[in-house]
Amino acid sequence: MSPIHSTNVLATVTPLWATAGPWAGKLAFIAVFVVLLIWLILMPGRLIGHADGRPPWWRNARVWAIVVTVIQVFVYLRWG
Amino acid sequence: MDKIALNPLDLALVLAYLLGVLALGLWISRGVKSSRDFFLAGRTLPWWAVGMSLVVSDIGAKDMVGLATDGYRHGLVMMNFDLVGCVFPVLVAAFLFMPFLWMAGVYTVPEYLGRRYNVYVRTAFAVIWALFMTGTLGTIFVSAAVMFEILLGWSFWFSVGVTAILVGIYTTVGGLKAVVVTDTLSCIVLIVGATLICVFGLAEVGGFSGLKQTVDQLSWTEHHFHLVLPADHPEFPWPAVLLGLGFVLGPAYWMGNQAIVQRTLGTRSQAEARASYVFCAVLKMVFPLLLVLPGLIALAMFYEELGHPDTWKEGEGNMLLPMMVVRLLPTGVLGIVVGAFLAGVLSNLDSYINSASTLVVNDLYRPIVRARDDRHYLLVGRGLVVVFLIAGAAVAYFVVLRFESVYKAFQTFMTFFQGPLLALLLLGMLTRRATQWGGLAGMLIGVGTAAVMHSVRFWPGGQFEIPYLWVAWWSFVAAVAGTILVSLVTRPYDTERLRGLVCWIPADNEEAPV
Repeated sequence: MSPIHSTNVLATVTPLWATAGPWAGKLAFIAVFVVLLIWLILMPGRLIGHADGRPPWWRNARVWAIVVTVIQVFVYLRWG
Repeated sequence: MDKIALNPLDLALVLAYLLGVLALGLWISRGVKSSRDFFLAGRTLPWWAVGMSLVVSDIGAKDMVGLATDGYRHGLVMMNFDLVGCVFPVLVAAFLFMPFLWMAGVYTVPEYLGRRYNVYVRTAFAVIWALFMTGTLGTIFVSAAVMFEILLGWSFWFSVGVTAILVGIYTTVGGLKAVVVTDTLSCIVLIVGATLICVFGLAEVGGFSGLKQTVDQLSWTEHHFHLVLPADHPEFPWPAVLLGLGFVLGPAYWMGNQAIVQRTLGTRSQAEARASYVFCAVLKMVFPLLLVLPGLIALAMFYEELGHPDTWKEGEGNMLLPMMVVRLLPTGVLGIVVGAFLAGVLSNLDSYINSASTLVVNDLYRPIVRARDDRHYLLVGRGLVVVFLIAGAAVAYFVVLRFESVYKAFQTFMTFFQGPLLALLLLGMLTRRATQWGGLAGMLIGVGTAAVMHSVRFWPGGQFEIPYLWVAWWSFVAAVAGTILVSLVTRPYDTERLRGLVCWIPADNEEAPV
């Protein structure tokens, strides 16, 4: 690929993103944390050492991870 | 530029902090008897200490000064480096990768790559990281010296000498345990210091609403209070931030950087390894605000004096935070904040030195000089701490001549490897089909792609520079593609060989084979 070609490819790609509008970026960032949130909630307990029973919530890393992720969603919702 | 004349109370606070770190580091060092104690703290570290250490290992003097300057220049978008670039990958790593790496029982990330792929991949990444760490040590020394010259009036070599000797003493004797425990103290001082700058700064500009009102009045700050910038923004287009930073550079840093990963490998159990990363994510939610907000406050306070960042000379922006500290803070508070700067420097420095020593002993020295007793490797590890301190100081001598360009060169050098590193880690941990030759090919193709993309600006007719976030993303994609394609035509290891190295093939033993 020549430099001219690479320039053309990138010049084409960038407007493709740009046409999505300013809300698209905000939505994409929020979506990343929402997907993470769903994964954290649905993850089987045996994969995170909860096979012998769930620990109390204040010692449960999953609970804290969910709290952090929810806060991230609100941060991007407000400041995105 | 104003200089600080620290009064006796401030000086006493700074001295107390320095002596406290030294005493704590030496006290903790008593139990170090083996190389496992030295490199992995005997796997006795509590999750909360590791979590705090992870945070301050990431934030050094350069970041404190640099993020404030970037906050002035770009605004809240810089917080993405700690939010989508840190919180997101750290939470993924906490549940998917770190407990698994802990179980693999490795000392270093290249060691894992060596076991999963082959010795070429291991050696290549060990050499790359050792070079990068030596360069980073030089930049840490220089950024610290610049700051201490302003804040304390120390000369360049006096500053390098004091920080090197202090860190050298407790890191040589105490290894990872001393590093992590002193980092917890540094983390507390850093949080208090950064909070005080924000509190006094906000009080000066009329609170957050006053700050926003003042900054919004400027003609070039329309995006300063947004985390997500337009897709055609020249420096931080959101697709590049999300893909390059969130999906490649962030995960590569938090899953593949030895200086970060090593302390988690020193925790007591898989559960504590996971908890340390989650605690790090909790703390990391606060830090971007504490580090970027001072830049916005400075914009509101000093714009008439400092003007638009495009008019600054090289290095002038680094004066921003020290200038705020000098003008804003009263006696007593000043001592705490100077202590916070020191905390950032020491924790950054000790992490990189300890990890560089671990890396060289385990990935480069031990494979060549085999079958020596454990005390030998412990001695070599301690000796390398001193060697790296001297090497870092030597690099600092060259870095100081052209700081910005050398610092950028090191960062550029690293973006060549972050994408391929992440690709190899992900494919290695998640698939049994990735082969040793696929990994090697993926590494070479990814690095080659990054090199070509970086060189576009030097080509005849090349009129633009590709943002490094895009370089990271596409080098990652190329490395994934290269690894998959070559793996499809080469033979994978058998299941027994991959036991404990791939997520879906657990090790037989519950305990890690360290």
